[in-house]
Amino acid sequence: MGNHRGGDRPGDCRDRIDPAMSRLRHLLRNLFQKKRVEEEHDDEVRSYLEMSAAEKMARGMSADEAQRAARLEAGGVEQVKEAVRDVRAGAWFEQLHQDVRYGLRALRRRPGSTAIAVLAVGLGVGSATAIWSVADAVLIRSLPVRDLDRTVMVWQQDLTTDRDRITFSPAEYLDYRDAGRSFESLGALQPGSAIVRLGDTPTALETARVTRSLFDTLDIKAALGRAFVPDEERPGRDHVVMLTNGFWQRQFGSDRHVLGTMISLQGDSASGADATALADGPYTIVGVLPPQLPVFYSQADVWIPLPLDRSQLSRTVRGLRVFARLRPGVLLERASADCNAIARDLTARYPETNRDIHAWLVPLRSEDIGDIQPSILTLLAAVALLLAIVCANVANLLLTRAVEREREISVRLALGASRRRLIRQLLTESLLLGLSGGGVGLLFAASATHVVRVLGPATISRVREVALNGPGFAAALAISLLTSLLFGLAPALKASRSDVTEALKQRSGPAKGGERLRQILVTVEIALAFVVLAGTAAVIKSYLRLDSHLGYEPSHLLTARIGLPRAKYSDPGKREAFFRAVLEQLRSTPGVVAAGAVNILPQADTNQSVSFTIAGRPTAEGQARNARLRVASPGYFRSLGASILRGREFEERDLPGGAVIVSRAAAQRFWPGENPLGQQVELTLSTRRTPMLPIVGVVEDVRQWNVSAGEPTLYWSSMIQPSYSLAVRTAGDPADLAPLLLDSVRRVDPDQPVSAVATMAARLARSQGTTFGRFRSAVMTWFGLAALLLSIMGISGVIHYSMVQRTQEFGVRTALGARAGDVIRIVLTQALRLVLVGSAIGLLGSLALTRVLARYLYGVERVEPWIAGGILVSLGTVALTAALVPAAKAARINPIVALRHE
Amino acid sequence: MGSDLLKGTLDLLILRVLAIGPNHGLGISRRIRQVSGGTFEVKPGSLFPALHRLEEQGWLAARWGESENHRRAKFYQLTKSGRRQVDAETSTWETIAAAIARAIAATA
Repeated sequence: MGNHRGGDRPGDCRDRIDPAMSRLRHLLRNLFQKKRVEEEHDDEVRSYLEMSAAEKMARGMSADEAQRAARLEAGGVEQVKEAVRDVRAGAWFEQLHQDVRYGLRALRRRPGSTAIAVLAVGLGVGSATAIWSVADAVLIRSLPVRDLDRTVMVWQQDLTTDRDRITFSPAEYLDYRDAGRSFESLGALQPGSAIVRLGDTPTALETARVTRSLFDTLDIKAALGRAFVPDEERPGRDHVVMLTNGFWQRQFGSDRHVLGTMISLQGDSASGADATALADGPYTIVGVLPPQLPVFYSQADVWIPLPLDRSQLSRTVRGLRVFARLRPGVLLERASADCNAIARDLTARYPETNRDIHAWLVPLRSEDIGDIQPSILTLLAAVALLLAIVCANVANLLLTRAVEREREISVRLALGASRRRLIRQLLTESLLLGLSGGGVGLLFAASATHVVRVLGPATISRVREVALNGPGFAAALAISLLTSLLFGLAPALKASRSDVTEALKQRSGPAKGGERLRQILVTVEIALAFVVLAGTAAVIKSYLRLDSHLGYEPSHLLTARIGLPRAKYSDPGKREAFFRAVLEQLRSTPGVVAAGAVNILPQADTNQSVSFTIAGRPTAEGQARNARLRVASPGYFRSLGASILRGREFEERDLPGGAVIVSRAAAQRFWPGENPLGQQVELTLSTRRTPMLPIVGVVEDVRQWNVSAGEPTLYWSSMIQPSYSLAVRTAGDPADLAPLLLDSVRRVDPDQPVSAVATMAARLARSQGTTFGRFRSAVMTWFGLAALLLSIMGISGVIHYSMVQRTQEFGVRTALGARAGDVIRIVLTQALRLVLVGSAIGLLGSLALTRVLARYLYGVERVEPWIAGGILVSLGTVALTAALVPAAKAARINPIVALRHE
Repeated sequence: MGSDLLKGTLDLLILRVLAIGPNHGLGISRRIRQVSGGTFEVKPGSLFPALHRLEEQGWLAARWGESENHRRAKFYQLTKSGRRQVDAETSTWETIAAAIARAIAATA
């Protein structure tokens, strides 16, 4: 009012500042000297009344009369005070404080149901946040690669044998590099191994031979020093290495002066058989790689340039992992078509090696996430279900409380509370409930993500980066707050609209509408719990099946790898003599049950394949046959614990001429309905062809490193390979025998290093499939438990409450002659009906869910009847117990007491 | 009209009463009744909130003193900005009153 009038006056500015300052001063005084402000006001009102009474006495009233008249005239001392409080600066703050205090008192009055609600919200919000945080770190956040969407891995696959992820031979890589029109950049990496001499002891190293272009393709820059330069791809100039960050830390203590140091490398066989073989000699350290590399299937210690000279490259030895960056605007489909045109051309030009070989492009992101994606989606679905259960729980609880409080609310309205204030107070109470639950959830989520970050399997990319996800927590909290507000608001509105006198007259009986809504909520909750429990059971069962179908016996098994230096062991006879001697040493060691050797152990992430022909079957009619190849020593299957299904294990007599054992899957594919024993096959190896070899046995399928065990495999008896893995079956703890294993090797050749000494159980635990399987089942188990717990809370809470509400009705029934048995029967029938309807809906949901899960999980085809039955029985037990306790009490109660029950 | 004073009117009345000199709650109430010829009966339920509001605006200052018949009472008096406010509110009120009077005359 004053402003538009005072606009042209000099004091204008002060006019606006003074009120603001004054209000601020009063606000502070009201908030921090509340007691004094109140006392002063009390005094003021009292003095007013005294003076008013004095006036009236002066007019001839008696003291008593005057005082009463003064009070009457003033219109209620408390109302006056309240009116002043309402206009004071900071009144809203005052009222909020009051609402919170009342809210807390109301929550404390029912400690049981409050604790349940807070725990339910906490558990739900916490689990949801934790899982979202993991999913976000592992699945959603990007790999540290520029243009990730355009980065792919290029593989070859053989559609006739379902073999996928076939690596490239150096010649094939060059063919694709030169002919591929879709690529902006193409790079390759070849895993291998070498022996390094650091001081006196020879140590085995994992190596990666990389093309110069790989640094561009994957946008990798040296963390220290420099990357390779194009000149270093020429043979002879390639004696330079880069250390991976982990190796630099382990071996050199992150010493920055390591650049320029020479290390002496000795190539072993696994580093390549032809021109790509690692040359022996001193290598100069030129750089250190960054800690995070977007490179898969390689745990290399050092990177070494891979010189590729077209004139002397192999077409048969495949070991290159190829990474590519597509040109901008080129879609995956077009790039695939482009690559397959190259593949068809290669098939035409080199039918020996490239028949039925197609190109297969996998986005780097899916290669990275791999099997985890469906699992994460499963987890997210589980989170959604869990949150739904939480919401149903909270809704139920609030509705229950609202019915209980209808009378309290009416009384307060009658005593003059304003409706707005009342609604605000009920909402404050709901909010408090939601926020305390959120606090518990935050604590829970923070500790859960911490556990995952620290204990999560390292094979899952970026698991160490898992951190509490703020937006995820906010979303989960918002959902639960919204639920509590929504279901807290409905009764508040209803109560404040209702006619006060009517509500006061009404006895606190069950409100029919609320009862129906609650029954629906319980049914929904039972259905949701059923689905989550069935899903959990399916995931756990799949994992157990996976673990028990390895095809071999992983316990009591010690493994190690030996790669012989090429120069020293150039003679095949020397190699055979070495491994034969080592195995004999081992077999005579006390505690060793059996010992054998194989080129690639189960759970290793490398592979080797072979094409072969079957005697008496012309290759023209049958296609070129391909299978996984394993080269094994006599006694290998006994050591591994793989069952021989037909025929026999490799023996000494198989070594000079060579023999073959086929896997169950190979027998089924290549000799369907026939006995493969006595048949003959000819293997096409990298450098030569074997003569016709007799098949002497059929062995159970052994799971390699992916889920499917049934890849056709041929085992060839030979001990002249330059590198083998040892499999030693022990009587006791295999870890105890590790020193003896090293001794045995040292006794044969003191200069020969042994690498990767580990028990099979440890290797298995490290492998990606297993760790993720375990991770997933641990998380799913947690979910199942949380869902079960939440449903128990919800179901028992609501059923219990509805029984208590009916105490009066039971009293009437008992008074009219019903016996305890009748009352209990009514109760149980009602509870059972809820369980049956809820479970039926849940079963339908589970059937739908299982169809989805079956695509991702091993051995999940249907909802097992015993699982469904088990869930039904547990949910039924919970519901019936919850109903029975109050029902039994109600049945025993004196009808008179029951009738008075409110 | 009883206690249903027009909003803003009560503030103006209080300010004008205090423009004469400091007074306590009961005194202000009696004075308003007197000057309005008994038209306005201000009850403590509206008087005290208004006094506190005006005090918090910085237009009134309060101090404890002794009443005419020797009782302790809280006296209110105008501050400097309160005085300016009396002028401002008075002229605003006059403008409105004149406008309404003209409007009534025109439609009568």
